[in-house]
Amino acid sequence: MIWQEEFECMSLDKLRDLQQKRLIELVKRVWDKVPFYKKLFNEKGVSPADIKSIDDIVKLPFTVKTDLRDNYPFGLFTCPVNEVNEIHASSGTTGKPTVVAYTKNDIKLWSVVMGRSIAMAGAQRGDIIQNAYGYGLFTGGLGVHYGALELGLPVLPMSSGNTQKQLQLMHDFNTTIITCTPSYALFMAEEAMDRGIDPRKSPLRIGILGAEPWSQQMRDKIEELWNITALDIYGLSEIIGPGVAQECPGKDGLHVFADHFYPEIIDPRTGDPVEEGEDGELVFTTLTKEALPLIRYRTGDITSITYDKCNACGRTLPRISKLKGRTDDMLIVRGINVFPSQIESVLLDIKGAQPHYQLVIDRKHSLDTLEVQVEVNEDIFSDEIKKLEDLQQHIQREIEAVLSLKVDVSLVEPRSLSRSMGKAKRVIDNRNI
Amino acid sequence: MSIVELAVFMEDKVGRLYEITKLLADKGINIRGFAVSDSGTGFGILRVITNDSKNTINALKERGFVVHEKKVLCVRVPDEVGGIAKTLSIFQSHDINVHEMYAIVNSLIVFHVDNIEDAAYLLKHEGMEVINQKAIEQI
Repeated sequence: MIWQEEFECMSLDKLRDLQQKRLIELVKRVWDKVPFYKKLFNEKGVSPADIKSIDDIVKLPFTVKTDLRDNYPFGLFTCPVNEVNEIHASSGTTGKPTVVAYTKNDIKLWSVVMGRSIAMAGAQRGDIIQNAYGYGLFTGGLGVHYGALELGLPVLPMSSGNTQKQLQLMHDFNTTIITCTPSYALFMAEEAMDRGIDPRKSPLRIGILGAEPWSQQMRDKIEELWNITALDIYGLSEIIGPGVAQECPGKDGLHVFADHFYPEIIDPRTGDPVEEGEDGELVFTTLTKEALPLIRYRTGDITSITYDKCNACGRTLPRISKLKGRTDDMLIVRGINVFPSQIESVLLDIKGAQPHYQLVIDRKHSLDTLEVQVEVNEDIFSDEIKKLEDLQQHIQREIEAVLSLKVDVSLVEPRSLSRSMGKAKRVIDNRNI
Repeated sequence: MSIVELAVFMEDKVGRLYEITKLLADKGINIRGFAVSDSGTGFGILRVITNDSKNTINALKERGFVVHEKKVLCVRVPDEVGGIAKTLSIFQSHDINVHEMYAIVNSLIVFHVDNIEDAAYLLKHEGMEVINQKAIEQI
């Protein structure tokens, strides 16, 4: 089902006209209302008068995650905080969360793009959505929820976890659409089989899965285990949350809702646009968002884009390929962004001496696990087991508090972590994604 | 009066104890006694008393181990019924808490106590033989 055909199938010329009109208005708005942007534009020697067409967007400066952090908590809002309608926050790299906000119109926008996503995945009247994305400060749960409300489909606000109940209600309520991370979809299937339930006999027919990278092989496995169509959804809190782009059952790229989120693909080293179809960093400008618009926001995600009409569904919206990697060292573990620097700063706080460490990410029973291996050096070694165990637990608590993610901390011998060229290898990702 | 104990941080892995003992053997170092404590969370501590603590430290550090040097009390406990209980009764009657204890060669026992000198004095006063570093290097 195409929820908003007039936008999702509009001609590229019409789309450009709409994007252009919205960009020109947006640039004036942020110039007037957010001192940060005025300063940033001035530094680049550009003003609203220079933006006359959508192609002029390349004259505008980029924004990055650090800008959100530097203006914590509300510095980038276009309005006073008491005029927004909803605030979310994700864990930040230095302990400061990344704050995003929505006006009433922004929530409406979010509902609409999420509604489009759910419809694009194949939802129809009669479907029941089991939403197993986390509800709370994480945007996943509420984003999908709003989309379901917009479409008028029943939604079970399950949140993540509590697998036994998920399986029970799925069976008892005949839920037909599951929304969760791909790893949780796999985990639930395995849990079901452990309990003697055949997931292929479940009422599910569609999975809308995202918030972490996953491969074609993983899709094949999920589709095989559940006997469903598993589709990728893309989003990030800074832009809106889930509902920035969505795969249709054609599984040939994710359709970007480009009438609201203007995509560019750039060379991450030079900032210059790359040719259509070439890999580069995905950059978004939020054309219509009110509370927290972002200009040329660098997502750090590597992908490519095509403007060809989709043969499968007929939408004209540009499509990005499934994500191919990151430009920085960010890891996504169970849908949560993890920067090695966050763990570094925790370790630095412990006795002031930063020991070597290594992050080992694995997927056990379909769930991502994060092990933090900390080398025991002279500074932190105690010859009492109790003190070392206390240290181990202390590090674990601190890291869990910063990441909002369960981790295992292991104390290891100094020479055990691999080093190359004198530099420690910080991350070992054993997941096959 | 005390002797030197070396505590080595070890991962709970196959061959770790062998690696350390072989290393010391190759350096001609004689292990007089040892104790292993295990955390149950993937690591442990090997406590070792040798005839040459300086070379032991060097050898271990060279191999990348973290080593902690500590002074401990070492007492000859008669190899007879009630021998250990008698020693501990002296500590108990003077309110001395024993954090760790383990037996090493020649009927010697190593104790971790807070005030080694006071404890050594008390034991000697009760007629027991307290061992010093020189003795441990020469037996």
